[in-house]
Amino acid sequence: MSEIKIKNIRKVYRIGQEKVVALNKVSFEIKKGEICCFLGTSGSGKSTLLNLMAGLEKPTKGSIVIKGTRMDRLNEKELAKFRQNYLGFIFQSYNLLPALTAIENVAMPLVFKGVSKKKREEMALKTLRNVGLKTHVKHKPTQMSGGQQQRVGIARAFVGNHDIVFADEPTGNLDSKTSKEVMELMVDLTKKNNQTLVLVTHDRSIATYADRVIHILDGNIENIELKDENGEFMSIMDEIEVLS
Amino acid sequence: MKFLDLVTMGLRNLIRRKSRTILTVLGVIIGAASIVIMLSLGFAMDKNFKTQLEGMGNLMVITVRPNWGYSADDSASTGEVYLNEKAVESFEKIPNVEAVMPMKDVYLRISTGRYASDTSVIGVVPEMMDTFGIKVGEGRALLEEDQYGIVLGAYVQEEFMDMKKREPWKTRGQAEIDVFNDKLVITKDMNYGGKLRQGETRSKLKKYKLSVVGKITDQFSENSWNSYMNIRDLEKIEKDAEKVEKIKNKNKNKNIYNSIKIKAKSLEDVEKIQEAVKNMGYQANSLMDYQKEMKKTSGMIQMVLGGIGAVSLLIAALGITNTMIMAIYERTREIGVMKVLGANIGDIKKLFLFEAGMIGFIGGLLGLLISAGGSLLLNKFLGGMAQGQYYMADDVTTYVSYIPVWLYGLALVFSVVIGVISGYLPARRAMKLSALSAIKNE
Repeated sequence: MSEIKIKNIRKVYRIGQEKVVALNKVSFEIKKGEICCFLGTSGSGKSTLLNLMAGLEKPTKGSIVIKGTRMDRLNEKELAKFRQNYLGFIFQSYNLLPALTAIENVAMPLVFKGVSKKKREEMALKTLRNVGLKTHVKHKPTQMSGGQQQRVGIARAFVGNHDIVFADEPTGNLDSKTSKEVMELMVDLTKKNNQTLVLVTHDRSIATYADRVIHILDGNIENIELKDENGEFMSIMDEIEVLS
Repeated sequence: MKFLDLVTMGLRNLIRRKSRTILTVLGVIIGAASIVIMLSLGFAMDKNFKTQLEGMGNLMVITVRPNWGYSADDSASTGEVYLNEKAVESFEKIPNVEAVMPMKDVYLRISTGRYASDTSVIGVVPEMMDTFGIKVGEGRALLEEDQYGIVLGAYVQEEFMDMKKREPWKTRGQAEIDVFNDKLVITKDMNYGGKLRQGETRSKLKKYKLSVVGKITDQFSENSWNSYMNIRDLEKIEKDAEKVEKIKNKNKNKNIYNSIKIKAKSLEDVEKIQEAVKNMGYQANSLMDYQKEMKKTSGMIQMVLGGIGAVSLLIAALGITNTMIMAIYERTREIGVMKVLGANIGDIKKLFLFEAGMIGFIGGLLGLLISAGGSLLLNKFLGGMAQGQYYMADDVTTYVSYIPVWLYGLALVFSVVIGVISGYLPARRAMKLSALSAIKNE
């Protein structure tokens, strides 16, 4: 069974009098435990796709089913609950709350979930250790490097042990060495907990970490590649076209 | 989200924006303090007047007088109602009446040796004196068994004059008389002991041996002007006098009593009882009449002063709204991130409402402390000035500013409510903020 199933998604923005088609009839599936990467240039519609999957925006047409739930039909309150239970987020610019320490930032999603202070600090500390930041527990974001901040961001996304983690250009603000470390960390955590990781990037090298790469161009899926046992990517576009 | 987490987060946010929070709170402090102080001036007026009235007599006592028919609007004035035993009985039947006391009022002369003092003597039922607020300062109240016992009014002693002198009033207050031990007599003969003018003969009116049992010392009470005697003794004096003066029955006043006093069970009942008595065709007055009038005046003053205070609180409320809107602009990203991380929109709204309410609460609390201090200072430095405006004994405190305890509570609740209301629009705005804007990369 697929974890995420997108069917015939269309998203149109209205800018003044003009209509801009961000996504044009997009369909795909992501399986549980998979690392899926959306690859495309800026303006291709890949970020819109992520927003739709995260329930931050509603599609103009089509259906989004995540874990058997029609995301596009949930109201704000149900969405909040859904995010609490199933979704983790990693941002390009980390988006840590500057007033809070590393451990408090990591524990943030648990606060909204109503987890007790003692329990959530325990969980946050454990996750911070897992991302290799046990010495920076009480540091504020401004006292940490970009790589360290993103590790906090990753810890925050993984602390709730969510089934699905979304990452929007997670290495966009990092140098190549740190990018590599961060990517390996995310892949490692995802595989260890059998979670599903959905990445959005324009960086080809990031895509090599994925099991499934979906190429987006001008609001359409250009190609879908799957990694085989040898680590080679194979296009499955032809099969899909035959199926549909 | 747990309430405790909400509180911690809200407080942290306020502390983070220290200077702005302090300035906004300052606005609320000024607003709350000015409202409380302004209202306290009005409450002080109320309180002073009430103490003054209480000094004058009991607020729960209604005085009934015969209706002489000169009140224009009173349709019952033609009815034949008199102050007699029947009236006393009918008053006793009015609900919530605690006691009814008939009173007789006779002007008599008290005399010892060459000195005499004239006083209005009121016949009372001895055991009811206390009920009707006739407070004996020296000695004791009347007892049923006293024969021609009397409680002297506050001014009787100083009114003793040497009646043998040509201008007796010049000797007022000079005589040293021990009213409790000197031999005193009382009589209806208002010329007793005085010089007879040509052609005058000594009156045959009787003299009665008087025993003073007590004295009223309270100078400002409406009860201070009169002396008090058992109504039984007073009626005897009256009857004896009638025999001597041979007053014919046909001309006799049908009002046996000069007045009847009614005591209500509680302050709230006074008005109703008074109304009932008026409807029976009598005239009825109570100190409540003054109080009602005074309440109207002080109520108006309070509204004006409170209005002035309210303006400053309104400005403070705008300050809160302003601060919260600023906070939203500043925290757009933060709010968005919180939403994406699973914060309920209700929680975000609550967080902002809490912060705004907290500003109101802290401001209100400090404002109350300041107004309590201000009230103390006002009373200390201006209290003396106010003293002169009221007829009160010197040992009674006069207030310039008086804050009832409930006003503190009300002002605090009000400040919080103002805070929450001011924060409502910004909070809604925060709630509706798009989470998308937060994760957009810049």
